[in-house]
Amino acid sequence: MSIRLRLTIYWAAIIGLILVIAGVAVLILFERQQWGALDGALLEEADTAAATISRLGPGAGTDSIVRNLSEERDLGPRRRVRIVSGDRVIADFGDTTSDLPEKRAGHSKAPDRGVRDGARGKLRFALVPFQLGDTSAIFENGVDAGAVRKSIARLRTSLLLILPLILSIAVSGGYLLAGRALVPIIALAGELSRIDPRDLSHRLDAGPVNDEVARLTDAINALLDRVERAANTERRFAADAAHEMRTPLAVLRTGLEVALGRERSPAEYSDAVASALREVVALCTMADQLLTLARLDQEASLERMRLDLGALIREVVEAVEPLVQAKQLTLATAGTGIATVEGNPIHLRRLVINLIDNALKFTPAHGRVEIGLSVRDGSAILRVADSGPGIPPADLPFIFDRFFRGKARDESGNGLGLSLCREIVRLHHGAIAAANRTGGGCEFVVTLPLAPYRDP
Amino acid sequence: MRDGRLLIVEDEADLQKSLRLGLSEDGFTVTCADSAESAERILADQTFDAIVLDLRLPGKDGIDLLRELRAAGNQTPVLALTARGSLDDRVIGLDSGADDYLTKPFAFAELIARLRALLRRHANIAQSTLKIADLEFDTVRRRAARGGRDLGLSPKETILLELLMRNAGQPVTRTMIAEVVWGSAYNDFTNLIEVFVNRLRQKINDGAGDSLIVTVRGVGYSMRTH
Repeated sequence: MSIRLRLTIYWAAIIGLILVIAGVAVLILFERQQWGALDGALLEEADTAAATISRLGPGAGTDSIVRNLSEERDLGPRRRVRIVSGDRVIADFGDTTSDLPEKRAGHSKAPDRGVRDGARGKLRFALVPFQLGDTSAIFENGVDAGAVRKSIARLRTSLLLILPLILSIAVSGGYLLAGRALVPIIALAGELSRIDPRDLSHRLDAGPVNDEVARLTDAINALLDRVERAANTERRFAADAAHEMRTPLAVLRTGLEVALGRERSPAEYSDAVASALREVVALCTMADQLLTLARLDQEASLERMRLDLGALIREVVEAVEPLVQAKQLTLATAGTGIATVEGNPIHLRRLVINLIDNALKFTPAHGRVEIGLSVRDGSAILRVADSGPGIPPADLPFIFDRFFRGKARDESGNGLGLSLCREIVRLHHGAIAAANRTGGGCEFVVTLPLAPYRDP
Repeated sequence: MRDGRLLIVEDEADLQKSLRLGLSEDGFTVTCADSAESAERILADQTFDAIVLDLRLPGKDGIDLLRELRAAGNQTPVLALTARGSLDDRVIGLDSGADDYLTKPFAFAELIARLRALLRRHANIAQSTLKIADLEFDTVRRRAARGGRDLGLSPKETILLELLMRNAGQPVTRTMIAEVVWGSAYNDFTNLIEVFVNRLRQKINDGAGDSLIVTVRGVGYSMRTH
């Protein structure tokens, strides 16, 4: 069901309910007010008459009071006024054929002072018990209540006609308004469906008003930003990778083509094949690393857990102890015991291994490697420093770039190790930086956000 | 044949040809199948010492074949090959019943070393004491001694020694060593394995004549059989 229809139905239900309640309330109040006025007047007349008659006692004076009252026309066109005592009618004046107070079941004793409808529904009676001489009597003051009944009926009819009319108008208005409100959203959907995946630079126009739709538009534009950036990164990655492979492929191709170009000795063939194998192995390694790099995002989202960076570092440090010993390096570790981060254990291990591998690789025998872990401002800070030759300042801005191989680096790397480090750090919402140390050597600093505190 | 009967299930024709050539020249008796269905037919009336199985095959998947074999009680050691090398794929492969797992492209020497290790494992399962010359390793108490003298090896060195001794006479690759001793994340850590093996070598050979651990160029390391 469309939002518009749903909103309109809710609106109709609410308005309908309000109108019904209001209508019923108006009707009840009107009824009460009309009857109240009439009943009040009847009772007052009856009270006064009964009090007077009670003082006078039975006799001609009594009859004339009753008769006078029955000729009053101010409360209604007809009257019937009586005095009864038990079953005996003491006086009865007015329209004696019209109506009598309806009997109430279960009242064998004398009724209380009150108001009653006529048994035939025509008159309205006020009943006042009083003392007439030595008998208890009841003064019945009745009047034709037709006018009141009619005006109440008229009000009821009017309400029954007007309220549905009001409801229809309100619901139609609501339906129209709902439509108007949803127009920008429908327009947004239309614009979005027209965005061509080949031109992700298109952005939606939020319009001048800063309302909820504008917020939605902004959020969508931000998403388009991210999607465009991701698509561009992917494209560049694929292009870079293909490009990088060209060199070893060129070496392969030319080498093999030349070798096959004419008859050669077994030794020459053997050479050519061996050289081809070397290039192929290099390509395999490159493919491996590229795949790891490309797959980083996918796998990372699946396996995140809380882990202690300190423990991870200690594990790697312990594993490389033979190397440290063989090169007689000084390995200085410093740091707080526990730094809990949230991340993928495999990737973080790869990160730590790459950094420490580099540090050990480039530090000459008897050198010094420092590994430090500290915690500050909600971040874990890992520092790996070596006492090797450092990084040529000209290369420093580029060392984390894919495929970057500075002139001074030894060729056992293939330019992807640090790039992988940067991607891993990025995926964990951290940062990595490299700098040359004043005393010689270089230092890598990785910052990773600590995992949110959780009760153990 | 002495070296063992192998079944190769691989649909890529050139790769199958090279594998057949390389493995038979290395001493194995090789039978090839290029689909799970034809492998099933072959396995119906022949047994093998090991199976090299590509997990991605046309028609029925290699993984399904593997699961069915295991479900039917076939315990032949299986070395799985596949181009998919994520950790998840590796875990699935091993969980489905593979004994070892190699991602393509691989070094041929790696394949041979792992195959031989598989066959050896299958053959010499429950030996509590390994002995080569006067080097003895108690696998239960995890203690190595040479000429009666305890060698004082670290836990990792002990693991490596056991690996080499169980595969005495055939090479163990750096990758295999890394996997067993530290975990596969360390298998390309610069020089780590070389240095580590050398240290073990020194501890074992200390004073006692020839080096029992031999470097096999281009492949890895092996322990002499005597």
